[in-house]
Amino acid sequence: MLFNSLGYLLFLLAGVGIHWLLPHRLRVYFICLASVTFYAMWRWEFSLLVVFSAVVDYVSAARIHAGARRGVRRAWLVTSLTVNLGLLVFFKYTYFIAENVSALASRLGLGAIDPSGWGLKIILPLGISFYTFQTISYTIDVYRGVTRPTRHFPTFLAYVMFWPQLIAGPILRAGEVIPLLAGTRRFGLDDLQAGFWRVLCGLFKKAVVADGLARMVEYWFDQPIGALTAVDVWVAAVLFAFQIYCDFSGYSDIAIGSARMLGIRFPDNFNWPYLAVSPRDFWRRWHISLSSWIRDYLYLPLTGRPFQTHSTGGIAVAAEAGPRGLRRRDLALLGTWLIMGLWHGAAWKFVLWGGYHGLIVLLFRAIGPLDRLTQRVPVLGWALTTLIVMAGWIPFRAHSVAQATRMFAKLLSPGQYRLSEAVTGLSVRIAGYSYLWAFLLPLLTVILFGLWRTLRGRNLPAAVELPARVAIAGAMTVLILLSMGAKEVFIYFQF
Amino acid sequence: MRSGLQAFALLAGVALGGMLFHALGRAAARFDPQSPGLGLETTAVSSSLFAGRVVSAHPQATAAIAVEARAMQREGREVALWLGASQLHAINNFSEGERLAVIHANARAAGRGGAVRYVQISQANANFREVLAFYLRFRQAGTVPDRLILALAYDDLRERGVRSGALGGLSDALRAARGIGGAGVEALIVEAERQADGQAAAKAPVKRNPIAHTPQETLEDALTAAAERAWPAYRGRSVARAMLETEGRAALLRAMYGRSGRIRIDVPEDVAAQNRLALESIVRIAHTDRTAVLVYVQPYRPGEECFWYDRDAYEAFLAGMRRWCAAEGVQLADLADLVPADQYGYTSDGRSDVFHFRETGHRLLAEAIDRLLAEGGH
Repeated sequence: MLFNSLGYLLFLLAGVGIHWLLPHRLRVYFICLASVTFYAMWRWEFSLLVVFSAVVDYVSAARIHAGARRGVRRAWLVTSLTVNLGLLVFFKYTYFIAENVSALASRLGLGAIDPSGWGLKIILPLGISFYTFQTISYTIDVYRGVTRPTRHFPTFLAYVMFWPQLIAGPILRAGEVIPLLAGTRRFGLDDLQAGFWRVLCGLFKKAVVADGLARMVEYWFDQPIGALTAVDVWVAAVLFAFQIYCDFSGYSDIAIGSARMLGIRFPDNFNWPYLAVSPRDFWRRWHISLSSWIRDYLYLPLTGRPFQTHSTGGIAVAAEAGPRGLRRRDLALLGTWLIMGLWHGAAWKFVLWGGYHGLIVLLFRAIGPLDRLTQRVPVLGWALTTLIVMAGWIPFRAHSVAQATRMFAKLLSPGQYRLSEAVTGLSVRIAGYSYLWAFLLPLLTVILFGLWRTLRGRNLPAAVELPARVAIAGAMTVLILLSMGAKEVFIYFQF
Repeated sequence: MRSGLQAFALLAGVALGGMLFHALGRAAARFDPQSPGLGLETTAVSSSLFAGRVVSAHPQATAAIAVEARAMQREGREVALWLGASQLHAINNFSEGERLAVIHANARAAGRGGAVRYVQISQANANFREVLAFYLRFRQAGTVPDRLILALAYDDLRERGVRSGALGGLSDALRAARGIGGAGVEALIVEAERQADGQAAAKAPVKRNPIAHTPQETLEDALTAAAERAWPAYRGRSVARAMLETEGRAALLRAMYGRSGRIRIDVPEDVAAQNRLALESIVRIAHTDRTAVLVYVQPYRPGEECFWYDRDAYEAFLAGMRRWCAAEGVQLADLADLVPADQYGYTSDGRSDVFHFRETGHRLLAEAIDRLLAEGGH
């Protein structure tokens, strides 16, 4: 179910109401039922797939916990991983693998293989990348002895399918969520209003900002490369950077707010990422639950260093750990980033995006003075990081690797740094607006962040805070209502 | 602040937002989204009748216009197909009973006993590539005009590309015109294929984000329809959005360039070349059909610095057009100064409207065009 829809708002209000009216022992059953309904509003048959995945992990984790011998425990772990990753690879990467095998066969002179003739019609189940990672973390945590398996299947199912996080995270650990689902939650006005406020903020980010920018982003990325200047490429990158941030963090806000209205607190998934002062800092602030997952289940195991057990901190925490086996650590980092890129989508452009970030982090590690300079002069670090991160979004949004590389080439050509013909010609139509917004957005972010930090630290009198809250909520409501009904899907739904 | 008070502030804010939205909806109900694009107090006339026949329409109604034109030809009339942009269908300070140039031209032709009758197809900001598409669509409907009148709006030559609506269902006509139309038709074929590819990709079995045709979409459509029925402001949200954007753009323009400031605009060479190819194709096809062609430089508000363009570039363009028309046997008329400045309106951002005039302008344009045709014996 789309969060930015009238249907979801009704679903949320009804769900929250029923949840708090029910006796505590029935709430977890209600969450399961509501979550299955939530997922089935997309395609009911695929909700069975999620339940199947949950059953496999529930049984595997129980067997691992009960298993006396290491071999048995490992066998159940391998079973769980094989099923989960098998489903993920089948649904998400079959076309990608087939297309690449076909291209390779053709290049080797083995004749062209046409995957379209295989009769495959694979639909990518919504949220499979997210709930698969969540269930994998559960089984591995039980195997590692970090978490005890729950004996109550409905509670486990509620953890896997909990509707606020089912489609696009945050990816949370069983140890963080299951106690909250199983424990007694008391109704609190504080949770309700804070959750609703967060939902409102998320809707604003998605419906007003992200969807508003989408048209401009599409305009620039659909232009023939030859018609673009380097300034246009920067404009496209900056606009997309803000679109994807508001899109995904808006989704996370609605997820976190919805859970909070049910009395469950999730950690933040974003922390003002475009104010990062180094690439490493950026990955402490962007999609924190994913990068923390990657840290604990991929990167740290590859480097042979101790893992952590929470979905906060991001991947950068690991980068700060002491050096041991430099080459292994660096290769692990690069490999991790390539996989992280591929996780985002079955296309080489995402691998390019992952590789780009991996190389940047390695570069900062390798050039010590650069790393130290960004720490000593944060403004310089912020400027450099912002440029790097913005440029990094090009392969993510481009239609192909070829388009991304040609756009990068524009950025590296000094002669291409001039205003677009579209802008000099059309003044304030879509191209002109894009230029204006690309300039204003980073500025507004910094101003907003400064205001937010200043106000949060002060205990404002109610006579000031109350009207301010009413005015902000009112303005957001008007703008959301004006933007509703576009049926725009969240970008991260495709992952 | 206590959570009770915070909750109150939140609910009060949402309620206030709802009320503001409602008020905005009421204001938007009086807003015509077309008007600001055409200039203040300018009205788009969607269709017009002369002697009981529809003689002016949007390109989507080309087939209907072609049927009317064929009927005229069967009655022994000569049909002059008049193609252009919004100047042809917009009247500033419109009052009941005022008529477009095409009606005036028909009345004048009938009054002088001429055989010619005018039918018009126009679309806002139509460039020559789109005009070629209108022309081919007209021919596809089975009618070959006796005269072709093309409004040359230099301003519209900077428009890139072709709107998808202009090329839909035109593949047969494009194929048929391939041999005679030359490079302009070839370019349209490429554009049509590119657009078809894009549409095919959108319609292809979706591997990701298949929200369409799901229970959620059914539910959302039902809820949206119910909300729109129950709350007129919600139903008119897109108009309200358009109103805010338009007013915002006007304010932005005023802030950036001043009330009467003009921005120098150039027509990119590649775009001008594409339009020239399309014009050449129109003339080639017309000559094959033995249809005489009249190209006229569209009137624009006298005293304006040539639509705020680079005058040298504009003069060079016009000189090139004159040479080309002379070589191709195409009649070219410069009607740029035809309509007095006081007959033009103003734009929503407070500047003079360079293109859209009052009914007097339509009458003057009709007289000029019909005179030109009458001189040619039509």
